[in-house]
Amino acid sequence: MSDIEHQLSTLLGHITELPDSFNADSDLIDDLALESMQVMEFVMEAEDHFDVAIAQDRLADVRTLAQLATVIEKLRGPAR
Amino acid sequence: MGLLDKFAEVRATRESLGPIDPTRVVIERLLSPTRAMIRGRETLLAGTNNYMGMTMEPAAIAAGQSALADAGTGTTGSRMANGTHDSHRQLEAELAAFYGYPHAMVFTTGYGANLGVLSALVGPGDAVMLDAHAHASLHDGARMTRADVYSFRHNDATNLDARLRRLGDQATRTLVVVEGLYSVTGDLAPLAEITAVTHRHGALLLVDEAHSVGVIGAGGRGVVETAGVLDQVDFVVGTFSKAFGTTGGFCVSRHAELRLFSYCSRPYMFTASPSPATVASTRAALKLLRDEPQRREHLTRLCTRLLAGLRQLELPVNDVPTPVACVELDSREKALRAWNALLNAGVYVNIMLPPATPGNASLLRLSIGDAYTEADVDELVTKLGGVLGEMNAEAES
Repeated sequence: MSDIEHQLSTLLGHITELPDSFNADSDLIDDLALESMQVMEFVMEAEDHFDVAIAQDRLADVRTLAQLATVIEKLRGPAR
Repeated sequence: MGLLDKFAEVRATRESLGPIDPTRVVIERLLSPTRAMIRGRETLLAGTNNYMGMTMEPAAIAAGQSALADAGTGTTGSRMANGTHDSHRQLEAELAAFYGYPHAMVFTTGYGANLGVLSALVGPGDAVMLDAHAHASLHDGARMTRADVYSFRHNDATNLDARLRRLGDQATRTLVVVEGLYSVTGDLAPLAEITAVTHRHGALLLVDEAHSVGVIGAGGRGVVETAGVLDQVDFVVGTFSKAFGTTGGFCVSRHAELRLFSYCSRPYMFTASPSPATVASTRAALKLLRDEPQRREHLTRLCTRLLAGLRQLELPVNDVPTPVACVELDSREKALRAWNALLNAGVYVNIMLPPATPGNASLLRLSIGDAYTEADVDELVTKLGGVLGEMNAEAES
Protein backbone atom coordinates (compact mmCIF):
# COMPACT_ATOMS: atom_id res chain seq x y z
CA MET A 1 0.00 0.00 0.00
CA SER A 2 1.08 3.59 -0.62
CA ASP A 3 1.40 5.99 2.29
CA ILE A 4 -2.02 7.55 1.58
CA GLU A 5 -3.62 4.12 1.21
CA HIS A 6 -2.11 3.03 4.51
CA GLN A 7 -3.47 6.12 6.29
CA LEU A 8 -6.87 5.58 4.68
CA SER A 9 -6.95 1.96 5.84
CA THR A 10 -6.23 3.12 9.40
CA LEU A 11 -9.15 5.58 9.18
CA LEU A 12 -11.39 2.90 7.69
CA GLY A 13 -10.49 0.56 10.53
CA HIS A 14 -12.12 3.04 12.92
CA ILE A 15 -15.41 2.66 11.07
CA THR A 16 -15.54 -1.06 10.33
CA GLU A 17 -13.55 -4.19 11.09
CA LEU A 18 -11.18 -4.93 8.23
CA PRO A 19 -10.75 -8.60 7.26
CA ASP A 20 -7.23 -10.06 6.86
CA SER A 21 -7.84 -10.26 3.12
CA PHE A 22 -8.46 -6.49 2.87
CA ASN A 23 -6.17 -4.58 0.52
CA ALA A 24 -6.15 -1.31 -1.42
CA ASP A 25 -8.13 -2.89 -4.25
CA SER A 26 -10.86 -4.43 -2.09
CA ASP A 27 -14.33 -3.20 -3.01
CA LEU A 28 -15.64 -1.03 -0.17
CA ILE A 29 -19.26 -1.92 -0.89
CA ASP A 30 -19.11 -5.52 -2.10
CA ASP A 31 -16.22 -6.77 0.07
CA LEU A 32 -16.72 -4.68 3.21
CA ALA A 33 -20.50 -4.23 2.90
CA LEU A 34 -20.21 -0.57 3.91
CA GLU A 35 -23.57 1.20 4.15
CA SER A 36 -23.99 4.61 2.53
CA MET A 37 -23.81 6.47 5.87
CA GLN A 38 -20.58 4.63 6.72
CA VAL A 39 -19.11 5.65 3.37
CA MET A 40 -20.07 9.28 4.11
CA GLU A 41 -18.47 9.05 7.56
CA PHE A 42 -15.31 7.54 6.07
CA VAL A 43 -15.05 10.27 3.44
CA MET A 44 -15.50 12.97 6.10
CA GLU A 45 -12.74 11.32 8.17
CA ALA A 46 -10.49 11.33 5.11
CA GLU A 47 -11.30 14.97 4.28
CA ASP A 48 -10.41 16.12 7.80
CA HIS A 49 -7.30 13.94 7.98
CA PHE A 50 -5.87 15.10 4.63
CA ASP A 51 -7.37 18.62 4.82
CA VAL A 52 -9.08 18.34 1.45
CA ALA A 53 -12.66 18.85 0.22
CA ILE A 54 -14.03 15.88 -1.75
CA ALA A 55 -17.22 16.67 -3.64
CA GLN A 56 -19.70 13.80 -3.78
CA ASP A 57 -19.60 13.53 -7.56
CA ARG A 58 -15.86 12.85 -7.42
CA LEU A 59 -16.73 9.66 -5.56
CA ALA A 60 -19.07 8.34 -8.25
CA ASP A 61 -16.44 5.98 -9.66
CA VAL A 62 -14.61 5.29 -6.40
CA ARG A 63 -15.00 1.69 -5.26
CA THR A 64 -11.64 1.02 -3.59
CA LEU A 65 -9.14 2.56 -1.23
CA ALA A 66 -6.66 2.88 -4.11
CA GLN A 67 -9.16 4.89 -6.15
CA LEU A 68 -9.91 7.16 -3.18
CA ALA A 69 -6.17 7.65 -2.63
CA THR A 70 -5.85 8.78 -6.26
CA VAL A 71 -8.61 11.36 -5.78
CA ILE A 72 -6.93 12.68 -2.64
CA GLU A 73 -3.52 12.84 -4.34
CA LYS A 74 -5.00 14.94 -7.14
CA LEU A 75 -6.71 17.28 -4.67
CA ARG A 76 -3.57 17.74 -2.61
CA GLY A 77 -1.49 18.54 -5.68
CA PRO A 78 2.24 17.95 -6.29
CA ALA A 79 3.39 20.66 -3.86
CA ARG A 80 2.19 18.65 -0.88
CA MET B 1 -29.16 -8.17 -15.28
CA GLY B 2 -32.65 -6.96 -16.18
CA LEU B 3 -34.47 -3.93 -14.84
CA LEU B 4 -36.59 -6.02 -12.50
CA ASP B 5 -33.81 -8.18 -11.08
CA LYS B 6 -32.80 -5.59 -8.49
CA PHE B 7 -36.14 -6.11 -6.78
CA ALA B 8 -34.94 -9.51 -5.58
CA GLU B 9 -32.81 -7.62 -3.06
CA VAL B 10 -35.77 -5.44 -2.10
CA ARG B 11 -37.89 -8.56 -1.63
CA ALA B 12 -35.22 -10.15 0.58
CA THR B 13 -35.05 -7.00 2.70
CA ARG B 14 -38.83 -6.96 3.01
CA GLU B 15 -38.88 -10.59 4.10
CA SER B 16 -36.20 -9.91 6.71
CA LEU B 17 -38.53 -7.43 8.42
CA GLY B 18 -40.72 -10.22 9.79
CA PRO B 19 -44.48 -10.74 9.69
CA ILE B 20 -45.43 -7.06 10.11
CA ASP B 21 -43.83 -4.63 7.69
CA PRO B 22 -43.21 -1.40 9.66
CA THR B 23 -43.48 0.59 6.45
CA ARG B 24 -46.98 -0.69 5.72
CA VAL B 25 -48.83 -0.12 8.95
CA VAL B 26 -52.47 0.68 8.21
CA ILE B 27 -54.44 3.15 10.29
CA GLU B 28 -57.79 1.34 10.18
CA ARG B 29 -59.71 4.09 11.92
CA LEU B 30 -58.59 7.34 13.48
CA LEU B 31 -60.05 7.94 16.95
CA SER B 32 -58.29 11.22 17.78
CA PRO B 33 -54.98 12.95 17.02
CA THR B 34 -53.37 10.58 19.51
CA ARG B 35 -55.28 7.29 19.11
CA ALA B 36 -56.17 5.00 16.21
CA MET B 37 -57.24 1.45 15.52
CA ILE B 38 -54.30 -0.55 14.16
CA ARG B 39 -54.55 -4.31 13.62
CA GLY B 40 -57.89 -4.21 15.43
CA ARG B 41 -56.41 -2.67 18.57
CA GLU B 42 -56.70 0.82 20.02
CA THR B 43 -53.20 2.20 19.69
CA LEU B 44 -51.39 5.22 21.11
CA LEU B 45 -49.84 7.15 18.22
CA ALA B 46 -46.28 8.02 19.17
CA GLY B 47 -44.78 8.37 15.72
CA THR B 48 -47.03 10.59 13.60
CA ASN B 49 -45.35 14.04 13.83
CA ASN B 50 -48.76 15.49 14.66
CA TYR B 51 -46.98 17.88 16.99
CA MET B 52 -49.84 20.33 17.49
CA GLY B 53 -52.82 18.00 17.02
CA MET B 54 -53.95 20.09 14.06
CA THR B 55 -55.27 17.22 11.94
CA MET B 56 -58.49 17.14 13.96
CA GLU B 57 -58.70 20.83 14.82
CA PRO B 58 -62.31 22.01 14.27
CA ALA B 59 -61.33 25.42 12.85
CA ALA B 60 -58.95 23.86 10.31
CA ILE B 61 -61.51 21.24 9.31
CA ALA B 62 -64.24 23.85 8.89
CA ALA B 63 -62.00 26.07 6.76
CA GLY B 64 -61.12 23.12 4.54
CA GLN B 65 -64.75 22.08 4.19
CA SER B 66 -65.80 25.58 3.23
CA ALA B 67 -63.02 25.91 0.62
CA LEU B 68 -63.87 22.48 -0.77
CA ALA B 69 -67.45 23.60 -1.33
CA ASP B 70 -66.50 27.02 -2.68
CA ALA B 71 -63.44 26.31 -4.86
CA GLY B 72 -63.64 22.61 -5.66
CA THR B 73 -61.40 19.62 -5.11
CA GLY B 74 -58.24 20.78 -6.85
CA THR B 75 -56.58 23.45 -8.96
CA THR B 76 -55.69 21.19 -11.94
CA GLY B 77 -52.67 23.32 -12.70
CA SER B 78 -49.25 24.49 -11.57
CA ARG B 79 -48.67 27.83 -9.93
CA MET B 80 -47.15 29.05 -13.22
CA ALA B 81 -50.35 28.35 -15.12
CA ASN B 82 -53.86 28.32 -13.67
CA GLY B 83 -52.87 26.98 -10.24
CA THR B 84 -52.51 30.26 -8.36
CA HIS B 85 -55.69 31.16 -6.53
CA ASP B 86 -56.05 34.17 -4.32
CA SER B 87 -55.83 31.85 -1.31
CA HIS B 88 -52.31 30.73 -2.30
CA ARG B 89 -51.22 34.36 -2.41
CA GLN B 90 -52.92 35.03 0.93
CA LEU B 91 -51.14 32.08 2.55
CA GLU B 92 -47.79 33.34 1.25
CA ALA B 93 -48.47 36.82 2.61
CA GLU B 94 -49.48 35.40 6.00
CA LEU B 95 -46.38 33.19 6.17
CA ALA B 96 -44.11 36.12 5.31
CA ALA B 97 -45.78 38.23 8.00
CA PHE B 98 -45.50 35.35 10.51
CA TYR B 99 -41.72 35.34 10.06
CA GLY B 100 -41.37 39.09 9.56
CA TYR B 101 -39.82 38.50 6.14
CA PRO B 102 -40.82 40.24 2.92
CA HIS B 103 -41.23 37.07 0.87
CA ALA B 104 -42.75 33.59 1.03
CA MET B 105 -43.31 30.84 -1.51
CA VAL B 106 -45.66 27.89 -1.11
CA PHE B 107 -45.00 24.43 -2.56
CA THR B 108 -47.22 21.39 -2.89
CA THR B 109 -45.15 19.23 -0.52
CA GLY B 110 -42.34 19.75 1.95
CA TYR B 111 -40.17 17.42 -0.10
CA GLY B 112 -40.92 19.56 -3.16
CA ALA B 113 -40.01 22.72 -1.25
CA ASN B 114 -36.52 21.41 -0.54
CA LEU B 115 -36.03 20.23 -4.10
CA GLY B 116 -37.50 23.43 -5.48
CA VAL B 117 -35.48 25.86 -3.38
CA LEU B 118 -32.14 24.08 -3.67
CA SER B 119 -32.42 23.55 -7.41
CA ALA B 120 -33.38 27.19 -8.01
CA LEU B 121 -30.72 28.65 -5.76
CA VAL B 122 -27.65 26.56 -6.53
CA GLY B 123 -26.14 25.48 -9.83
CA PRO B 124 -22.99 24.19 -11.53
CA GLY B 125 -19.85 25.78 -10.08
CA ASP B 126 -21.58 26.47 -6.77
CA ALA B 127 -21.42 24.25 -3.68
CA VAL B 128 -23.86 22.83 -1.16
CA MET B 129 -22.57 22.04 2.35
CA LEU B 130 -25.01 19.72 4.15
CA ASP B 131 -25.10 18.77 7.80
CA ALA B 132 -24.29 15.05 7.90
CA HIS B 133 -27.71 14.28 9.43
CA ALA B 134 -29.69 16.33 6.91
CA HIS B 135 -32.96 14.83 5.67
CA ALA B 136 -33.08 12.81 2.45
CA SER B 137 -35.06 15.57 0.70
CA LEU B 138 -32.14 17.96 1.23
CA HIS B 139 -29.66 15.43 -0.17
CA ASP B 140 -31.99 14.84 -3.14
CA GLY B 141 -32.34 18.58 -3.70
CA ALA B 142 -28.57 19.00 -3.52
CA ARG B 143 -28.11 16.29 -6.17
CA MET B 144 -30.50 18.15 -8.48
CA THR B 145 -28.33 21.26 -8.42
CA ARG B 146 -25.34 19.76 -10.31
CA ALA B 147 -23.23 21.75 -7.84
CA ASP B 148 -20.38 20.32 -5.75
CA VAL B 149 -21.97 18.65 -2.74
CA TYR B 150 -20.14 18.29 0.58
CA SER B 151 -21.10 17.32 4.13
CA PHE B 152 -19.90 18.56 7.49
CA ARG B 153 -20.08 16.81 10.84
CA HIS B 154 -23.47 16.95 12.48
CA ASN B 155 -24.08 20.14 14.47
CA ASP B 156 -20.34 20.92 14.49
CA ALA B 157 -19.79 24.60 13.67
CA THR B 158 -16.02 24.21 14.08
CA ASN B 159 -15.99 21.45 11.48
CA LEU B 160 -18.17 23.59 9.21
CA ASP B 161 -15.64 26.40 9.59
CA ALA B 162 -12.75 24.12 8.55
CA ARG B 163 -14.67 22.78 5.56
CA LEU B 164 -15.71 26.20 4.29
CA ARG B 165 -12.08 27.30 4.59
CA ARG B 166 -11.02 24.38 2.42
CA LEU B 167 -13.37 25.53 -0.34
CA GLY B 168 -11.39 28.75 -0.80
CA ASP B 169 -13.12 31.21 -3.14
CA GLN B 170 -15.96 28.73 -3.72
CA ALA B 171 -17.13 29.38 -0.14
CA THR B 172 -18.78 32.59 -1.32
CA ARG B 173 -20.85 30.49 -3.75
CA THR B 174 -21.85 27.95 -1.13
CA LEU B 175 -25.21 27.23 0.46
CA VAL B 176 -24.93 25.76 3.95
CA VAL B 177 -27.93 23.54 4.71
CA VAL B 178 -29.04 22.48 8.18
CA GLU B 179 -32.22 21.51 9.99
CA GLY B 180 -33.59 23.36 13.01
CA LEU B 181 -34.79 20.24 14.84
CA TYR B 182 -33.34 16.99 13.54
CA SER B 183 -36.16 14.66 12.68
CA VAL B 184 -34.67 11.36 13.84
CA THR B 185 -32.61 12.29 16.86
CA GLY B 186 -34.68 15.26 18.05
CA ASP B 187 -31.68 17.47 18.76
CA LEU B 188 -31.49 21.15 17.85
CA ALA B 189 -28.95 22.84 15.59
CA PRO B 190 -26.56 25.36 17.22
CA LEU B 191 -27.87 27.97 14.82
CA ALA B 192 -26.17 31.03 16.31
CA GLU B 193 -22.74 29.46 15.80
CA ILE B 194 -23.59 27.99 12.40
CA THR B 195 -25.01 31.30 11.16
CA ALA B 196 -21.90 33.20 12.28
CA VAL B 197 -19.50 30.72 10.65
CA THR B 198 -21.51 30.61 7.42
CA HIS B 199 -21.60 34.35 7.00
CA ARG B 200 -17.97 34.81 8.03
CA HIS B 201 -17.05 32.80 4.92
CA GLY B 202 -19.48 34.73 2.71
CA ALA B 203 -21.78 31.73 2.27
CA LEU B 204 -25.58 31.66 2.59
CA LEU B 205 -27.59 29.60 5.10
CA LEU B 206 -30.76 27.60 4.58
CA VAL B 207 -32.54 26.17 7.64
CA ASP B 208 -35.13 23.43 7.26
CA GLU B 209 -37.63 23.88 10.08
CA ALA B 210 -39.91 21.01 9.01
CA HIS B 211 -40.10 19.61 12.54
CA SER B 212 -39.78 22.89 14.44
CA VAL B 213 -42.04 25.49 12.81
CA GLY B 214 -45.11 25.93 14.99
CA VAL B 215 -43.46 23.79 17.66
CA ILE B 216 -40.35 25.60 18.93
CA GLY B 217 -40.06 29.22 20.06
CA ALA B 218 -42.41 31.53 21.93
CA GLY B 219 -43.86 32.69 18.61
CA GLY B 220 -43.64 29.26 16.96
CA ARG B 221 -41.10 30.33 14.37
CA GLY B 222 -38.75 27.49 15.14
CA VAL B 223 -35.11 27.28 16.10
CA VAL B 224 -34.27 30.42 14.08
CA GLU B 225 -36.36 32.23 16.69
CA THR B 226 -34.91 30.61 19.83
CA ALA B 227 -31.36 30.98 18.49
CA GLY B 228 -31.94 34.70 17.85
CA VAL B 229 -31.02 34.53 14.16
CA LEU B 230 -34.39 35.23 12.58
CA ASP B 231 -33.02 38.40 11.01
CA GLN B 232 -29.82 36.75 9.80
CA VAL B 233 -30.62 33.41 8.15
CA ASP B 234 -31.03 33.59 4.41
CA PHE B 235 -33.72 31.00 3.73
CA VAL B 236 -36.11 29.05 5.93
CA VAL B 237 -37.97 26.09 4.48
CA GLY B 238 -40.65 24.06 6.18
CA THR B 239 -43.57 21.75 5.72
CA PHE B 240 -47.26 21.91 6.53
CA SER B 241 -47.44 18.16 7.08
CA LYS B 242 -46.45 18.22 10.74
CA ALA B 243 -47.43 21.08 13.08
CA PHE B 244 -49.94 22.43 10.53
CA GLY B 245 -51.60 19.03 10.08
CA THR B 246 -52.07 19.38 6.30
CA THR B 247 -49.70 18.89 3.36
CA GLY B 248 -47.42 21.27 1.50
CA GLY B 249 -44.20 23.15 1.99
CA PHE B 250 -42.86 26.69 2.00
CA CYS B 251 -39.82 28.89 1.82
CA VAL B 252 -39.46 32.33 3.38
CA SER B 253 -36.55 34.68 2.94
CA ARG B 254 -35.25 38.15 3.57
CA HIS B 255 -33.82 38.13 0.03
CA ALA B 256 -35.94 39.68 -2.74
CA GLU B 257 -34.62 37.06 -5.17
CA LEU B 258 -36.99 34.49 -3.65
CA ARG B 259 -39.74 36.11 -5.73
CA LEU B 260 -37.83 35.05 -8.85
CA PHE B 261 -37.46 31.40 -7.85
CA SER B 262 -40.83 30.68 -9.45
CA TYR B 263 -39.21 31.22 -12.87
CA CYS B 264 -36.42 28.69 -12.37
CA SER B 265 -37.61 26.13 -9.84
CA ARG B 266 -38.71 23.09 -11.82
CA PRO B 267 -40.35 21.27 -8.88
CA TYR B 268 -42.45 24.42 -8.40
CA MET B 269 -43.17 24.94 -12.08
CA PHE B 270 -44.16 21.38 -12.93
CA THR B 271 -46.30 20.35 -9.95
CA ALA B 272 -50.00 21.02 -9.54
CA SER B 273 -50.53 23.56 -6.77
CA PRO B 274 -51.99 22.68 -3.34
CA SER B 275 -55.77 22.18 -3.35
CA PRO B 276 -57.98 25.02 -2.08
CA ALA B 277 -59.09 22.93 0.91
CA THR B 278 -55.48 22.21 1.87
CA VAL B 279 -54.59 25.90 1.62
CA ALA B 280 -57.62 26.94 3.66
CA SER B 281 -56.89 24.42 6.45
CA THR B 282 -53.24 25.45 6.44
CA ARG B 283 -54.19 29.12 6.82
CA ALA B 284 -56.49 28.26 9.73
CA ALA B 285 -53.72 26.23 11.36
CA LEU B 286 -51.20 29.05 10.90
CA LYS B 287 -53.58 31.44 12.64
CA LEU B 288 -53.88 29.06 15.60
CA LEU B 289 -50.13 28.43 15.76
CA ARG B 290 -49.56 32.19 15.72
CA ASP B 291 -52.28 33.21 18.16
CA GLU B 292 -52.32 30.38 20.72
CA PRO B 293 -48.83 30.04 22.24
CA GLN B 294 -50.36 28.16 25.15
CA ARG B 295 -50.45 25.10 22.88
CA ARG B 296 -46.66 25.16 22.65
CA GLU B 297 -46.35 25.75 26.38
CA HIS B 298 -48.46 22.65 26.99
CA LEU B 299 -46.36 20.66 24.53
CA THR B 300 -43.14 21.83 26.19
CA ARG B 301 -44.41 20.54 29.55
CA LEU B 302 -45.20 17.20 27.92
CA CYS B 303 -41.76 17.07 26.29
CA THR B 304 -40.13 17.72 29.65
CA ARG B 305 -42.19 14.90 31.16
CA LEU B 306 -41.15 12.56 28.32
CA LEU B 307 -37.51 13.50 28.80
CA ALA B 308 -37.73 12.78 32.52
CA GLY B 309 -39.43 9.44 31.84
CA LEU B 310 -36.76 8.39 29.38
CA ARG B 311 -34.08 9.41 31.86
CA GLN B 312 -35.75 7.20 34.47
CA LEU B 313 -35.43 4.33 32.02
CA GLU B 314 -31.73 5.23 31.91
CA LEU B 315 -31.88 5.98 28.20
CA PRO B 316 -29.59 8.61 26.66
CA VAL B 317 -31.59 11.75 25.92
CA ASN B 318 -31.08 15.20 24.44
CA ASP B 319 -30.37 18.18 26.71
CA VAL B 320 -33.35 20.20 25.49
CA PRO B 321 -36.87 18.77 25.61
CA THR B 322 -38.35 18.43 22.12
CA PRO B 323 -41.29 16.32 20.89
CA VAL B 324 -38.90 13.87 19.21
CA ALA B 325 -36.75 11.28 20.93
CA CYS B 326 -34.97 8.18 19.75
CA VAL B 327 -33.94 4.96 21.41
CA GLU B 328 -30.96 3.09 20.03
CA LEU B 329 -31.00 -0.69 20.04
CA ASP B 330 -27.97 -2.96 19.72
CA SER B 331 -29.00 -4.44 16.40
CA ARG B 332 -31.51 -4.34 13.59
CA GLU B 333 -33.13 -7.53 14.92
CA LYS B 334 -33.57 -6.08 18.41
CA ALA B 335 -35.06 -2.89 17.01
CA LEU B 336 -37.56 -4.92 14.98
CA ARG B 337 -38.44 -7.02 18.03
CA ALA B 338 -38.94 -3.96 20.20
CA TRP B 339 -41.02 -2.23 17.53
CA ASN B 340 -43.28 -5.27 17.14
CA ALA B 341 -43.61 -5.69 20.90
CA LEU B 342 -44.63 -2.06 21.29
CA LEU B 343 -47.22 -2.35 18.54
CA ASN B 344 -48.61 -5.47 20.20
CA ALA B 345 -48.75 -3.49 23.45
CA GLY B 346 -50.79 -0.78 21.70
CA VAL B 347 -48.13 1.82 20.95
CA TYR B 348 -47.12 2.89 17.45
CA VAL B 349 -43.62 4.35 17.08
CA ASN B 350 -41.33 4.69 14.06
CA ILE B 351 -38.47 2.36 13.38
CA MET B 352 -35.34 3.56 11.62
CA LEU B 353 -32.90 1.01 10.26
CA PRO B 354 -29.53 1.28 8.50
CA PRO B 355 -28.51 2.49 6.00
CA ALA B 356 -30.83 5.49 6.42
CA THR B 357 -29.88 6.32 10.00
CA PRO B 358 -27.32 8.56 11.68
CA GLY B 359 -24.30 6.54 12.75
CA ASN B 360 -25.77 3.47 11.04
CA ALA B 361 -27.77 2.85 14.21
CA SER B 362 -30.98 0.82 14.65
CA LEU B 363 -33.47 3.19 16.26
CA LEU B 364 -36.96 3.52 17.59
CA ARG B 365 -38.18 7.07 17.02
CA LEU B 366 -40.85 8.56 19.26
CA SER B 367 -42.82 11.72 18.65
CA ILE B 368 -45.53 13.27 20.80
CA GLY B 369 -47.85 16.23 20.36
CA ASP B 370 -49.89 18.94 22.00
CA ALA B 371 -52.98 16.70 21.90
CA TYR B 372 -51.27 14.26 24.29
CA THR B 373 -52.19 14.18 27.96
CA GLU B 374 -49.73 13.57 30.76
CA ALA B 375 -51.28 10.11 31.06
CA ASP B 376 -50.49 9.46 27.37
CA VAL B 377 -46.82 10.36 27.96
CA ASP B 378 -46.73 8.09 31.02
CA GLU B 379 -48.31 5.25 29.05
CA LEU B 380 -45.68 5.63 26.32
CA VAL B 381 -42.81 5.59 28.81
CA THR B 382 -44.26 2.71 30.83
CA LYS B 383 -44.84 0.49 27.81
CA LEU B 384 -41.46 1.35 26.32
CA GLY B 385 -39.81 0.54 29.64
CA GLY B 386 -41.72 -2.74 29.82
CA VAL B 387 -40.65 -3.86 26.36
CA LEU B 388 -37.00 -2.87 26.84
CA GLY B 389 -36.98 -4.43 30.32
CA GLU B 390 -38.28 -7.75 29.00
CA MET B 391 -35.71 -7.78 26.24
CA ASN B 392 -32.89 -7.02 28.68
CA ALA B 393 -34.09 -9.75 31.02
CA GLU B 394 -34.16 -12.25 28.14
CA ALA B 395 -30.65 -11.24 27.10
CA GLU B 396 -29.34 -11.76 30.64
CA SER B 397 -31.02 -15.15 31.21
